[in-house]
Amino acid sequence: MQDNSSEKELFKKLLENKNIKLSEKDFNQSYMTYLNFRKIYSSIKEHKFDNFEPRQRNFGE
Amino acid sequence: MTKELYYSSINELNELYINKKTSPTEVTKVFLERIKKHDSDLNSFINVYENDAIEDAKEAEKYISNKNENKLIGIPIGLKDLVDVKGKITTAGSKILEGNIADKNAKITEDFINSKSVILGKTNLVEFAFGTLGINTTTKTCRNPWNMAKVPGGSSSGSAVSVSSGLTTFAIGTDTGGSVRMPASLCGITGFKPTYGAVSRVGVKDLSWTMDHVGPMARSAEDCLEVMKVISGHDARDKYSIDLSKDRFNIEKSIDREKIKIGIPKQYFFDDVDSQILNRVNKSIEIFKDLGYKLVEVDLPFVSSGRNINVGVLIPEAISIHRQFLKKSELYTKTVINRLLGGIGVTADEYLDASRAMSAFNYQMSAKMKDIDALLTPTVPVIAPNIEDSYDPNTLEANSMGRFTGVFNLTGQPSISIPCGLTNENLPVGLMISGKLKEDNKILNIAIDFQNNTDFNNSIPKF
Repeated sequence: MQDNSSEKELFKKLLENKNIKLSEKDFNQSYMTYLNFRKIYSSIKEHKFDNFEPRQRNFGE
Repeated sequence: MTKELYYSSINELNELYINKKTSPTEVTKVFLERIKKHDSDLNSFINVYENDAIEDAKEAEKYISNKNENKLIGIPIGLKDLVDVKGKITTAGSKILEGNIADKNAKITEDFINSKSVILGKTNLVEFAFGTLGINTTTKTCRNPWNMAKVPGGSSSGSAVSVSSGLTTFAIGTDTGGSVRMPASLCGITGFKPTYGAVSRVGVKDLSWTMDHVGPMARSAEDCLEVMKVISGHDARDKYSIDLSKDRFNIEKSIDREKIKIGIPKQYFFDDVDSQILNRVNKSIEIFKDLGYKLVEVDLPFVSSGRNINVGVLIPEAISIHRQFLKKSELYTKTVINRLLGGIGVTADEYLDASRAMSAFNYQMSAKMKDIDALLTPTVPVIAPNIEDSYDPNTLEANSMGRFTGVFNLTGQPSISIPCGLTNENLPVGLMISGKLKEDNKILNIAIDFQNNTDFNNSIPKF
């Protein structure tokens, strides 16, 4: 993960690209959620799933 | 008499109808009166179809017969306001869909119409079903009837509150990370999330096509089973629909308890749980043991990643569904737009990683479930917080409420929350029973057996 200031800039750009303007308070709350989600995707990367295709539930039981 | 009617079960009402002790019209009027009296405080309904409900109840009376196996004739129901009813507005609890009139019935709406149930109206929810506590500043947050200062849980908040407070006999909710079971737990009712695909999602607004489930919320597992008889079954219009046909739902007269192996997870589900919840759930586990079920400890070392994978798949799907509305960001409630915007920037690689991690997770869970019939866990790890403390989208309770329930959205296993006691502050605690894929009937019958031998689900809130 990038350092916090560049993460924040990236998030700002993502919002700008979608023409979304937020108050400072709303921006900070959304940014906190964004960071939580970034942590989730970092943790998912650590899983071993090389032998699996997406979204399987039934394994023939 | 009146009190009995509004807290009566589906089978009790059915019997009263057959014996002409009361009628669907009389019962419908009782509920409509109660909604008028209490719902300005509880906020559990967004729309009430008063005239239609009376007409439907009168029509239902023609079909009452002891020869009819359909128990839902003339039974009042609330539909979460994600479910389309032709000619009526589906708001999803949002300003964005104000005036959105459905041009068709949802598949389950058709099921209820064909069963001659009485649709009382649409129940309140978290905007677009995207939240765990039940907060909605657009429709006004529902109040928990057990303590009006507390959240009801979400996202099917209005469905849970209306059943808990005797404003309808049963209601329909949707569950993407726990949205049937969490509010059921917090409001002291029974909420059932069927196997993924067992109930058609056609005509029900999506949050995440991979994780969304539709399920009943009622005062007992027996009522949930009666509803499943009517709404389950294959629907070719839903790509992920499975054929779990109606005849697979039956109340078993006797259960061979010693042949049913119930797993108590060693990891995760009992960590960082409120001590009062832990205490009530552990006592319930003892009850299962005393009833003669075979209890075993189960090693699930992989399970702690389940909720993260559930969220990792759900978020990009929700953003994809909401892309068309995001430019109207000012119309969303703060908590929901916060969640949606927090998820922008997820890459295709990340979505695929999460979807493949889901398969790896499910493979492991599937292997573990081969040896056991059900898992017993708490439904949620935290006690209902105050509404006034819950407007910030990143509170501890908001982030941890779905920690256990979300695991079974990922796997698609049938999972039910049933009441198992009250805290010292008189707030309900929920016990979750989760089974093997497609063994919905077994899970419902285990829950029915527990409820037939305990009194937790008969507790009534004083409001």
